[in-house]
Amino acid sequence: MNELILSKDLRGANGIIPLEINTTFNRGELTVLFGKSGAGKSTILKMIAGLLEPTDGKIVIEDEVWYDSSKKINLPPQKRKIGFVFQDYALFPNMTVRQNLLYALDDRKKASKVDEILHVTELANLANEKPDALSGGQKQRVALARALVREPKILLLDEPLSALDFAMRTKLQDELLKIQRYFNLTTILVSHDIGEVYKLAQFVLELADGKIIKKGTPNEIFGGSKISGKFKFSGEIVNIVQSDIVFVVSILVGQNVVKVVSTQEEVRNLKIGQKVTLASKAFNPIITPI
Amino acid sequence: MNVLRGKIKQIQTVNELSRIEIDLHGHTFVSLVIDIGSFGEIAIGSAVTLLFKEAEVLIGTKESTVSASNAFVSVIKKITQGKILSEVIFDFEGVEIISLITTSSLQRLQIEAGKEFLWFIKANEVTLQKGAK
Repeated sequence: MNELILSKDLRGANGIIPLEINTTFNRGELTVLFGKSGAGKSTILKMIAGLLEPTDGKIVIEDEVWYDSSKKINLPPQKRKIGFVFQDYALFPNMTVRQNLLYALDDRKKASKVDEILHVTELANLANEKPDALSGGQKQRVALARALVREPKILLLDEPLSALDFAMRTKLQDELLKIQRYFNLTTILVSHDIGEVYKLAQFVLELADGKIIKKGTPNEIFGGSKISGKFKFSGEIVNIVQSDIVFVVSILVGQNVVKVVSTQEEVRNLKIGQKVTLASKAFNPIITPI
Repeated sequence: MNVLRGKIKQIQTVNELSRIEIDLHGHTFVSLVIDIGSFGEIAIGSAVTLLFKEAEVLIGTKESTVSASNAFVSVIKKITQGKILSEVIFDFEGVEIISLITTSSLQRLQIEAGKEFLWFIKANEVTLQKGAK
């Protein structure tokens, strides 16, 4: 079990905001901290990493106490087994991909771990490239790989994909999901993108002004669970075209555009760029082996 | 989308499959739902919204006998005719029910505003939404 009890006064744009967090989150799951900027999301990650000390509280990760103000326990950052990935990749430009990963290793004897991670993150064929030769998406994949070689007990991701374009972001979300499930790694992701939260989160903590205002699965938080449909996706409307007396609405779901027939009255409430939930009954889809 | 509001009347569950009866002003609607557990708590008497697509609503003559659990005779309020598709609007207890059928079927059945026809929808096409806004 993981436990966070944190309190600290944060200096916000409109004065002091008291951060008061008291929650648990599951081992091996991806938990998203969701909320507006200034809600305290990144601050929580810094406290877990040991980069910022709470006024008081307790941090327990995988049954290990990293911080406990009442017992005067405060592990230094280097003693906390974390992987931290930021929006900014922070790679060493003079080192190759492999060297960047080796540098992060605590124990040089575990060099085989680097190969496994390079393989899982599909970076093996880029192992000898320097960061400058890589695209933004590749660089972020290296940053993630570097966080993984330390075999962290917890992976902290602070909006790692927000600087990437939509297609690359979608691709890296898929990879992040695959990697997180492969290693069963307890992960906390900071995000303000609902689509991303839906896709990645197993559990969501919604924050506002330093407090948790909602906890639950993405469906419970964003309301989709009110509908009984079994084919349920969130997407974005990219086009609406009239065809005879009906309208064909194109919706981007992940990387695919799906087309849905809609009536004039329904289309009146829809516009391009709008985020929507797409649901269908479990009876409708046809399954054919490929 | 057709939207109706009612109250849960009865729930019958066999493994993953549930048959739910919904009361709508004395009429009984039936919806089939898979894995009702993931839908959260639903109690008898609680308010629920029924959703179904226009294109899933079929039309028959008044005397037709059909297998669909949800079949009602209503007066046609309005018809919008297109080249391929037509929209037929029924008045069901003051609520509009829209059926989208081909214009050729519209002509074959001689469907006209003011006449009574049977409209029906299979239980597996009815989606439930919690609460009634």
